[in-house]
Amino acid sequence: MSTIQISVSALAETKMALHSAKHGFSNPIHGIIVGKSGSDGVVEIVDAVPVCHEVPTKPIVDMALRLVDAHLQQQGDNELTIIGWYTSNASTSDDETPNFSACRIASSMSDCCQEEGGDNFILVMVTTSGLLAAVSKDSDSSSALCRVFQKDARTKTFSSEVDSSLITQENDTSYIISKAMSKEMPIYDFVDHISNYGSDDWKNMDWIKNGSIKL
Amino acid sequence: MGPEEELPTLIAQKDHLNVLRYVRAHELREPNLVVTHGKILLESKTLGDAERLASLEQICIAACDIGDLDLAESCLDTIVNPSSKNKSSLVVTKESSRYRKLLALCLEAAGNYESAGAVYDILLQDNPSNAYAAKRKYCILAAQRGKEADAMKALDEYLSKHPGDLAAWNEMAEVCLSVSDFKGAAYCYEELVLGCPLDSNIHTKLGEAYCTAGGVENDKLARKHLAQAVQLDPNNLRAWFGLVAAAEGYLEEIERMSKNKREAEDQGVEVAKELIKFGGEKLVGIYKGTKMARIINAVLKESSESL
Repeated sequence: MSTIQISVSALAETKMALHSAKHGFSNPIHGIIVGKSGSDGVVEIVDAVPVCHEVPTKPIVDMALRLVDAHLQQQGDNELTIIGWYTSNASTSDDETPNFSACRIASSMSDCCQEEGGDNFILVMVTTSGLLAAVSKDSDSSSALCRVFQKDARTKTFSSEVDSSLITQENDTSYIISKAMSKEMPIYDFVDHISNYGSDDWKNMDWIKNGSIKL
Repeated sequence: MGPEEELPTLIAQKDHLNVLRYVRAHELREPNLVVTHGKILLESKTLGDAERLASLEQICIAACDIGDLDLAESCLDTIVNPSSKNKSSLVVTKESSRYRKLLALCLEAAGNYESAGAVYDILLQDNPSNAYAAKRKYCILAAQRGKEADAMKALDEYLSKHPGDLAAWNEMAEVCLSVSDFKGAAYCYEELVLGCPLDSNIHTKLGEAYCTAGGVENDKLARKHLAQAVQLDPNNLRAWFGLVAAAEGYLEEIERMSKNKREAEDQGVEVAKELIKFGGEKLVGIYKGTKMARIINAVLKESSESL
């Protein structure tokens, strides 16, 4: 595990914020982080794909990962891959750590991609204080939207937090997020998509790209 | 004008009373809507007694839901101390158990768990089989960090006294899932299936829990319940995905078995392969012509090639 430097795009943060806020009634949320991860330790979080708003089960996680993988391959951009998992806990607290199921998923995913430089697999957690800071239009917010965790070399669990000084956001991220939330931009996850087959809206539930989210 | 009107119409017409009625009748969780319309309703009309009290109760609960504790408190006050404008013959006293339930809920919302617990204890003393009070006591524990073990114990006790409460079994299943106890979650979903054997969604959740728990026997059970789910509701897309995933999981487990054990499962392997083909065809059919068609085809082609 090399020293890591992470940049997060406003798009990814906005999607994670919207996903969290939509299911604020004590549901945990989970999703996939898409981006670029170099062997030099530079990690670029480009996009976020929401997966579910409940404790994820094996069929859901497997299918979502395979579908997103196929999507990225068909997009043709060889550099964009699945580089992490994001989550937000059902209940909040000051010293919160990512919930157990998210850690398990991150561990097994990073074990799988060990060969392809999976050393820098990341687990991102959206915090309530971060959401509040983003929505309060505080351009000088000291609370970033999310905290990032890596695999601890000793215990092999995702408990090693990346220092916030190593994480950079785009300019005006807070403003972008609060604008998106006040517009109540719709966001769909994989479970929304498969649970609503047969409804009029089904074809619009574009969970992979969530194209209606425009910054 | 009754609950047959659609909600957006009622909102557009600013029919506050019927918006509240609609939300109540359909048991929706729309606290922002209730508070917005409820506030206007309370200030304007003089309502009939039953209607006024029902609305106050509904607004109070919605206010607790969104954290507007001042509004919740004022609703509580108005229930026991109606203003002279609304002179009514229906007097609600502080000893009323319905009022006490509301009071305890407001105390919970304010984070005052001790006092809330005390109110529920009184209710349980008056009526030891008061399921609502027992459940709220569990909720108080579940809301506090670090008390997960106590919460599970409380819910366990509740379930041993009220084994027919399906909502409680559902809650227990979710608690098990949150601590990654998938076998425990499966046990709870089994109880739910006993209560609702024709519910496709419950079979789906049960199948997913078994599949996540892993192991050959669990994977077989997963297949069984997911197959039942698609049979009960052929439009249950989640179950179709689950069926393919469970059958693949089973085949993966078989690969890892020793040769002798593997032979005993020959028939199972045939069934699993058929299920993957069957599920795959169905999924390709569902997604034909949609934006996701290409990736569905890619993923399912991968599955059938590995057979």
